[in-house]
This record gives sequence, structure tokens and C-alpha cells, in this order.
Amino acid sequence: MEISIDEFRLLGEFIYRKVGIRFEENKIYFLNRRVGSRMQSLNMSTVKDYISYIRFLDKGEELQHLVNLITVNETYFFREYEQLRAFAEICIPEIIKHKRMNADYKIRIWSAGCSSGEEPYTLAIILREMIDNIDQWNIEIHATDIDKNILKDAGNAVYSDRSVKEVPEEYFNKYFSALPNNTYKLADKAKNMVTFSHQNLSDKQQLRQFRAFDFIFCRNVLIYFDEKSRKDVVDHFYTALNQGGYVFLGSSESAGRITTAFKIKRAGDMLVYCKES
Amino acid sequence: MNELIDNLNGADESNRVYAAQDIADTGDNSYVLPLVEQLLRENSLIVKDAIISSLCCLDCMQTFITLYSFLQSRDAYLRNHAVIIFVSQKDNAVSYLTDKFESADNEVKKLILDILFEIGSDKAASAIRSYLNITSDNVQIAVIEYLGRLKDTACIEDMVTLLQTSREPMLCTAILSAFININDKNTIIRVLSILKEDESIFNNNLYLPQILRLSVLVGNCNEIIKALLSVTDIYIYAEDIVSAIEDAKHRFTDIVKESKLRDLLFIIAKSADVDVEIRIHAADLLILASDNNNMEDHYIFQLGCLFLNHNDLQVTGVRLLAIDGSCDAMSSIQTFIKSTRNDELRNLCSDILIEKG
Repeated sequence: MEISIDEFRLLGEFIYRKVGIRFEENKIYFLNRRVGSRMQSLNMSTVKDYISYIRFLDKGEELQHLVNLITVNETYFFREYEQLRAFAEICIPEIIKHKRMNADYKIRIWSAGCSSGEEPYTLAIILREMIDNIDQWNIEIHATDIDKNILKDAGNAVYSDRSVKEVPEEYFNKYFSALPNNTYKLADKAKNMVTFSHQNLSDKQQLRQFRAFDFIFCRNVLIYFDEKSRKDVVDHFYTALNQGGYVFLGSSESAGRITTAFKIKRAGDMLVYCKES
Repeated sequence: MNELIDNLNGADESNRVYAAQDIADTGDNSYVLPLVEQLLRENSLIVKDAIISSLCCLDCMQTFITLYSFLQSRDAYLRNHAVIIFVSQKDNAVSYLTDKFESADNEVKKLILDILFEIGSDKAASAIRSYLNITSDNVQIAVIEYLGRLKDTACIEDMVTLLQTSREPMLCTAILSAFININDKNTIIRVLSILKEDESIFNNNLYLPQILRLSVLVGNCNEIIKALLSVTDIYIYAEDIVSAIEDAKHRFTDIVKESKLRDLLFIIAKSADVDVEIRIHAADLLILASDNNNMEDHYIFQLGCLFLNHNDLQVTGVRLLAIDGSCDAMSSIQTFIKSTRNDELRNLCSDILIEKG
């Protein structure tokens, strides 16, 4: 089943109003079949029927399913590579330089909505590769998620082929060892840099305990929040950052659209959001 | 309550943000005045944003006088956010602001119109309509624009009268655009016949985009094609031409197959002087028009190859070649896979090659 461009624009507007994601029209062609198949499996013949279903009958699962179809398929190491490159090549050196000048050798990172751990472990690998004399530094990567079961998996640090498919070969050889059944275990030197804990981003009191970070990653998580909740969380991210710290949302999300408090800076080809010093 | 107020006024920026958030959650309107007072003192943008957000969750009628003064402030942040807060107050704000409208200066009048439009209720629309004959041109144009965007049919007669009596180009353009948005067929037919009687408007390129779109909404297929082909400055009006064809196909699904319109779309799509988005839109329309059995259709293949050389057009280029489906097209895709570093495009091309065998 193929959806017409007009129908897809209708769906795009609905998604934008619901979750604040604007997806590019040139991706229509990529996604047409996936969304069309989904509609067919639900016996929906028109986009209007599909939207009505999500609006009036769905309890959130179908919207989540749809957003997954149009944003990301899965989580994996080094996802959204260009953004990570900006983090690695521009943001880290800047923070390191500033901290060295102040004889401050502590770096704190928060991966909010870490799922099965690929993101915080990716950050650990990047830090190990980008910071000279890393043993001189006290690095804390705090990874949180609302799903307790997935946090257990994350702690094991064992991954399938699909999770590691985008790991650059040099890093793969350095940080992963093969296990049976086409799985791979992350090396302890990266694994031990990450601490996992349960957290609900909607729980304000719990959220407010997390403070004093140099980097916050919360990618493709807030899309499921309503406007007010999303703003409350991003406002907290601002207060939770140290001066000069950075927040990274998903590449299709915009912190600037949620609050004007962050300063937008160019890091290579990317725009990044910084809490100004 | 005291603890929240103490935190709102305190030295710690984070606590001020949290206090504003927590106040919103209380739904207690007695916090409105302390929030506004803190807003006036506050230096931190994050706290100000949190306060604004909180005020939007509360009934702010008791502080409308102060908020109205923000509309006149030299501080753009206060002006813009007063608009946001008033909008959140819905019809309560309509009553208050309509009382203030006559005495306001033109800049504040426009802000009031912005607010009324965003509220968008029947009461707000009625208020906007009541200002249709205001003497200030700029304010009047804003009124007309908003009535069009609200698709307000109650203003049609007054707007037709204005069109017949005014010669101010911006005003006429605004009225025609409003009729497009309102999209009342009988009115459009009437307006087009009024325009045809006045060559100073009908043949004036200034009004061409609007006349084109009005014609598309009510004209028959031949009239629409004739209107489109009569446009001489194709590159200047490329977007209007493509939009007009897009609109026309809703009424006449086969209009995109007209050979002269396809020629026109091809010229627009291949031109480097036209914006990328318009070129993609033109290509999309050509794809709709393409007939896979017509082996003489070279446009799809030519455009596909041309688009592969432009970063922003590559996805559409691949689509075009996929639709063309010829051996040459598949060969172009294979060559492209080897040169591109874009993972998504490589995957798309691989899928296409597998599908086409």
C-alpha cells in the first residue's frame, strides 16, 4: 500500500503537532512503504482513518510505533554519527581545555533515556579516544532509563551484530570481543566508565537530583512527551548543566524550539546547544 | 505557598526555574502577581521562560493591565511573550483587548490582531472582522490577511467592495490572497469577472500569482492551462506555477499529463536558477505524469541524472531513475552507489537495484 504525498503531508502535520518532529519531505519516499504496511496491517485504508485511530483509540502505543518508523529504527553504537563527531572533535576539546586551565579533572555526562546502553558506551569509547592521559581524569557517565529490564541488559554490555554495525573498525577491534551466537562483549575499560540507574524523566523530584553535568544526551526520547512536560525536562537540562556545558537532543529535535535559553553554536557542520559561560 | 514564592524570588537560578514549574502545577491563580513581578526583575532567560510557561497555565485576568503595558514595551521579549500569554487566556483576552483596540497605536493594534488570530475563536474572528474598514493601510492589510487565514466567510461582501474601490496594490493583493484562503467558489468566480473588467489589475504581473491560483480554483481545465502557459517570467513565478499545477490536479487529475505543462515543469525542474524545493516539487509532478509505457518520455531519465549531481536533489534523482527503470537508469544508480557516502541513499539504491533485478 502506497500513501500519496498529500496524505503523507497530512500525517506529517499530525506528527509535528503531537510530538514536535518535523521530518523532511525527501524522506517520504524512504518511509512510504513502511508506514503503508503498518496501516495495511491495521486495516486502515486512508491516512485520515489512521490519524483518527491514533487520536481517539490508541493509548500511546501506536503513536510510539509510528514515531519509531519515521525517526529511528533501533538504537546502535555510534548512531547519528555526525552529531557524535561534533561532540568528539569540537565540544570535548573545548571542555577539556577549559577544565585544564582551572585544574578541574572531572567530567560528568548524563545519557538520559539510555535504553540498552549503546549510547553511553559509545560516549565512553569516544572519550577514551579523544582524551590524552585519560587516567588523569575522573570521568562519570550516568545512564538512566525508565525501563528496568532494559537497564539489566545494558549492564551486561553484550550486543548483537546489529548494535555494532556502525562501530568504526579500529574501535571495534579495540573495544569488542566476539562471543558465541554472533554477539560481542564490550571491553571493561569502556564498560566500567558507565553507571546505570532507573529514572523517570516525568518525575520532577527525581529529575532534579541530577545536576552538574558537562554534557547531557537525550536523543529521540522527548518526542513522546507533551509540550509542557518536554519544556520542563529541557529547562531542567539547562539547570543541570555546568556553565559551558552542552545538551544533545536527536538530530530531528530542536532545543531552540523548546527554550531560547541555550546558545546555538556551530560545531563543524552541526548546530549544537550550549549553556553559555 | 510561601516556600514557592521564596524560591521564586531566591538567589539560586535552578530553584527559581523549579518554583515557576511547580507553581504551574498548582493551578493556583494567586501566584499570578508574584510571577509577573518576578518576570520584571528577572535576568535569567531560562527563568523568564519558565515563568511565561507557568503564566500560560493560569488565569491572568487580574494582571491584564500589566500585560497590556508589555505590548507597548521597548523590550521585544516582553512584547512577544505578552502576546503568548494573552493567547493562552482565550476569550477573556478577546473582551479586554477589543476594548483597548481603538485607543492603541498601530503597532499595538497589529499585536492585538496577532493575538486575536492565534486565539481563533468565533468571538476573536468577529472582533477582527469589525476592523475591516480601519483607516490605517498596514493594519487593514493585517486584518484582511487574518480573515483569509481564518477562512471567514462573513467578511466576503465587505472585501469585494474594498477590492472594487481600492487601488492600493498591497491591499488588493491581500484581498485576493484572502479569497484564495477562504476558497468560496461563487465569490472567486465573481471576483475574477470583476478583475477581467479592469486590465490594470488583470494584466498586472503584480497580481499574477493570486490570479493564477484563483483561476485554478474555479476555471475549467483549458482555462487553467491557458493561464499557466501565458506566464512569461517562468523562473520568477516558478513556485506559483508549480503550486498552481499542484492545486489544479486536485480538480483535474490528468492535467499533469498535458504535454505543454510537462514541458513547463521540466524547464522549471532542470533550472539551477530555481529553488531546490520547487525543483523537487516540479519533479514530483512529472513523476505523477509519467507513463511507464511511454518510451519516448526522456524527462524522467534526464532529470534523474541531472539531480544526482546535486546534494539536495539526490534522493529525488534516485527516485526518478527508479521510475524510469531503464538499463541506463539502473546503470546510473550503480555508478552513484560507488560514489556516494550517504548510507541512507546507498541503502535506498541497493533496495531499488534488488527490486528491479
